[in-house]
Amino acid sequence: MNAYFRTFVLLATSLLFIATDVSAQCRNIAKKQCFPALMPYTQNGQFNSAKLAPGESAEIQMTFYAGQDYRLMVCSEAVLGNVNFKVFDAEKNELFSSKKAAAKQWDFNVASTQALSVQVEIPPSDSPNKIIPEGCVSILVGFKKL
Amino acid sequence: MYFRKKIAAVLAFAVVIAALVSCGGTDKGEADNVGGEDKSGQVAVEKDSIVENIFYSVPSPIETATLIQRAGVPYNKDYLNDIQNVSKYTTTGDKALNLGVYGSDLSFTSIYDQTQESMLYLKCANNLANGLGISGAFDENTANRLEANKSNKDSLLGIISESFWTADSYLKDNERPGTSSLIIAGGWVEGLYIATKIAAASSNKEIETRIAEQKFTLDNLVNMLKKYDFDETVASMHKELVDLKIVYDQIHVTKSASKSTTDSKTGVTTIGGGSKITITPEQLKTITEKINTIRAKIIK
Repeated sequence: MNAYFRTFVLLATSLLFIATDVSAQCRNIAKKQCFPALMPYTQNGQFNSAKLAPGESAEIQMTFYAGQDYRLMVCSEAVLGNVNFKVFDAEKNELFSSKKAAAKQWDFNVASTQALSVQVEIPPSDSPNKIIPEGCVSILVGFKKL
Repeated sequence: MYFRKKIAAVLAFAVVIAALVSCGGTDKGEADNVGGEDKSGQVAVEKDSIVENIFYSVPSPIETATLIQRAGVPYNKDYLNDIQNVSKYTTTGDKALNLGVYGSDLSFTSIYDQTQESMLYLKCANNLANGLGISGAFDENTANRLEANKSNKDSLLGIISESFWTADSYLKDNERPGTSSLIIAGGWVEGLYIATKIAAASSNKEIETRIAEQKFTLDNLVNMLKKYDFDETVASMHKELVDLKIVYDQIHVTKSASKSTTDSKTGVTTIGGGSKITITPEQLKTITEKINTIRAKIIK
């Protein structure tokens, strides 16, 4: 009985610790992985992150101003595999695909200010077991003077 | 034995609650009560109806301030919110909106090398961030870093952007994206307000174009606030900006196909084409009046 009780208390305490820590996980990943890679661009001050599973996607819509250089990048947990992103203009024309470019980031500028959308896709899982991994994905944008 | 059972029951309950909270996921349906009196650390209310992973991003006040300064207009402190007003903001909603306002003012004073005033605005931002229970943003450490890097503008911008990011990520991590959206809205309103004041004083064409271009950003901001408009303060700001959007919707945009070219040396792609935006003096006047009213309600 004592052993069962001790195991239960240990398990419960561990679960509590994990649950508390999970919420800060995405933030830490973005800060440690993305921020250094964003240099020398100034990040735009917003945290756009989601916990996604294989086969899921996310989209971010934003404005890019003429006269600035931008760096767009996506950071994700290794458990999600190769996360790809595409950039579309307002007419849904594809402007960039990280998969086609074999790149993890995109440096660009716009001749005229415009709204673009970024779509992030998590590849389907090919894991033989039934455990579906879930991981953090963060989309970061940096800017600097053209 | 009875005591052990009790501990086990309490732990089991805590684990279930923690699991529910941690499974919420960032931005997938979290809400916070921002309209009432300040209750830092309040328990979040989950709203199941929001399940889409669609985000709307708004350029930071730092970026807006950079664009305005580049238009070659002089600094004018009269355009900024009075630092004495900081004590007026007592509700979570007012604190969040005015953290955006003061954060934007801090961006302007920093871009224009007004070190002394930057420290005053940083203090206001710090006061409101503390009131919202945000740690690590606009704090003493930020002040020390700003002071140490005052001669390096790129570093200054990076430090202020990091504070905005820390505040935004802290609130989103703590299931308070509604509060975060109000900070963003307050910052955007202040940036546009300053731009309209400059336009009125100087008739600077570049500034007028920048004001017109806010049409694209306003669409995203309205959509962002819409996600959390079950909160009273967010709903109120959303309504104000929807009214402003009616004016912006009349601004003419000529679209052309986007054409990309990539510089083989730098690897930087230039997206050509896009859109040409034209604003009439009447539209500018209406926007100026409307943003003046919205801003006055925020800083009241």
